[in-house]
Amino acid sequence: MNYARPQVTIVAPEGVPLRFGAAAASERIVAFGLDVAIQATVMLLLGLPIAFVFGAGGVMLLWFLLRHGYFVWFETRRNGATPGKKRFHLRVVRADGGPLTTGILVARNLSREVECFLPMVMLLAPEQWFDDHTGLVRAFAAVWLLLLLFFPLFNVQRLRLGDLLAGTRVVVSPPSELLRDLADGRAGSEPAKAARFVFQEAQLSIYGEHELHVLEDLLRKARAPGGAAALAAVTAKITVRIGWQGGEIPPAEQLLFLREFYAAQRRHLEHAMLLGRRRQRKKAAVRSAPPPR
Amino acid sequence: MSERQNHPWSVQFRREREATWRELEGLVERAEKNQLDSLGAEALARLPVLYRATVSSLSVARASVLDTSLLEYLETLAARAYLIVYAPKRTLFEALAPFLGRGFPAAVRSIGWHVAVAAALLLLGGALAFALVRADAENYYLFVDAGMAQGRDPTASTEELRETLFSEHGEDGLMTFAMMLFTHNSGVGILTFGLGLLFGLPVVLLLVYNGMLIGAMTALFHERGLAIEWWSWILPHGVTELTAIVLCGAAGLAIGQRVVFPGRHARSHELAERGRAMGAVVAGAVLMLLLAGFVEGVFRQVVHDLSVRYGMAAGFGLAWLAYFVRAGRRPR
Repeated sequence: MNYARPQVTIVAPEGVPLRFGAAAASERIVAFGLDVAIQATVMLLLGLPIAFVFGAGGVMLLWFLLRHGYFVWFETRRNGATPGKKRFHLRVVRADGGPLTTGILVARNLSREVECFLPMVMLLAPEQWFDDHTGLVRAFAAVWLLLLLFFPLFNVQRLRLGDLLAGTRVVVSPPSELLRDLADGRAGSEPAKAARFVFQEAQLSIYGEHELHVLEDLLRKARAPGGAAALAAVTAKITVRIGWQGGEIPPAEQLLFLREFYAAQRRHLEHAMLLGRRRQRKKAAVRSAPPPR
Repeated sequence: MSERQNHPWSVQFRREREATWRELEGLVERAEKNQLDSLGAEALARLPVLYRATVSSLSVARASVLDTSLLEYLETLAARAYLIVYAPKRTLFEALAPFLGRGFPAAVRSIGWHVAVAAALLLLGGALAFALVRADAENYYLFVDAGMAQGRDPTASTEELRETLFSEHGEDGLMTFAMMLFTHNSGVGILTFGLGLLFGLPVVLLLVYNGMLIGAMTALFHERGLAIEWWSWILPHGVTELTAIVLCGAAGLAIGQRVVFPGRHARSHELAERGRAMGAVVAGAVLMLLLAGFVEGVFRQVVHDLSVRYGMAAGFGLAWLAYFVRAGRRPR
């Protein structure tokens, strides 16, 4: 059960691998479209006054700067994010974890000429390029150009050729919220109180990390519609599985029971993890506990 | 059982460190919204400290914490903070001086052989076309189409040909002409570089073809006895422009080489190493083309004296040679 995006792992200079989500092709295309729209707007707004003051040469220079300078400028100034990328929390990072340099950004952006603009121009105005060629040549050229244009769709991380050339990745880095710790009775509004339910060592060595995460998910959604029914079902399952001796849990106490079971289970498993570094077999024994039915 | 023992280990872990993470989160949020320099000196000094503490929390948490919300939070916070801490510090203009002083010539020197091969390809194309056109003037049309020739073809009279070498553009047209030349040439240069990705083969063709264009025109002007005037027309800017095109081609060849023959390491790694250096070569070549555009569009149109033109060409040639051989070398 893994809902994560394809991952990009960057080893930070501190030696710790950091995990990013790879930007989706759709996000990258729309971000690119936004950037092109901004470029076009600037061209329209500034083009006429510049033509008036500096003549056609000024307009040509403006067009050149916009076309080739826009991406490099923003990606150096705004930490790897053009306005379009920023809108989708996309950023350019170096695959080897080092800092971005101008040379890298120039390389990844200038290669766009060949992998994007060239195929588009050739496909939009084929008569200029392939007029006196046979159908076979045209078919080959079309396939080749489409491969070039849609290269990102053929790899999991959605890399374009420019990313390969410059050794960069485009990642998403959305913020995520730190939810309160379910096992910390002191957090939140409730005051800390002594545990109502006590679990034996043997009762805690049945479930593993996966079940713990499922239980955490359930507890976080306890107040959502259908949460109460799920709580009841899971309480019933767990009491049977661990051989709970304390009698049936009334519906009003099911949430408390599960939270305390969660806290006890997590304590047990985390304790094993801490030791497990030194005593592999015990850790393996805990991990290989039979899954609940 | 004490209250403390009842808790998983990670509860204590979080209580001790959460303030640090929250402080970092606040800084990262501010830095993401605005620029890094909006943070102020004190916050800037705190940032790396907090970042390293959080990264170390993350490694500990990965090994011994089972709270998925906490893990997820640390993963994203460390990732966001990494992007801020290792953000590019220099702007384009600040990077310019060290780039011109050392980065560009050093990058060019790192592909010396490719530059030689690219130059050889250009000369090969030129020599081939020159020989063919001298043998039969009709061959001229094989290399130069009407749009490129602009009246410079075998049907033109010698007087007309001479005129193309000393034409006067209107005063205000010069900048436009210079910009047109610059944007066109840079487009070609950038394309030459990018085509390296396609195994480098199109780069070879493009270099040979560019050489052929010049070779064919040279043959035409030589035939009419306009050799000295022709070279005075092409060399002042050509020295810079053709060097830049050769550099772009060499960068393309160097990339193509890495695509085909990765070398010691994985292809992706080798290609990225090469690509980063070649980005510098192309950026430098574009600046050279800007200079060449001005020389071609303004200087050449205004100055018609042959000795000045040749002096200019020689000056540029020597300057570039000295620059690429000497600039930015560390003293031994």
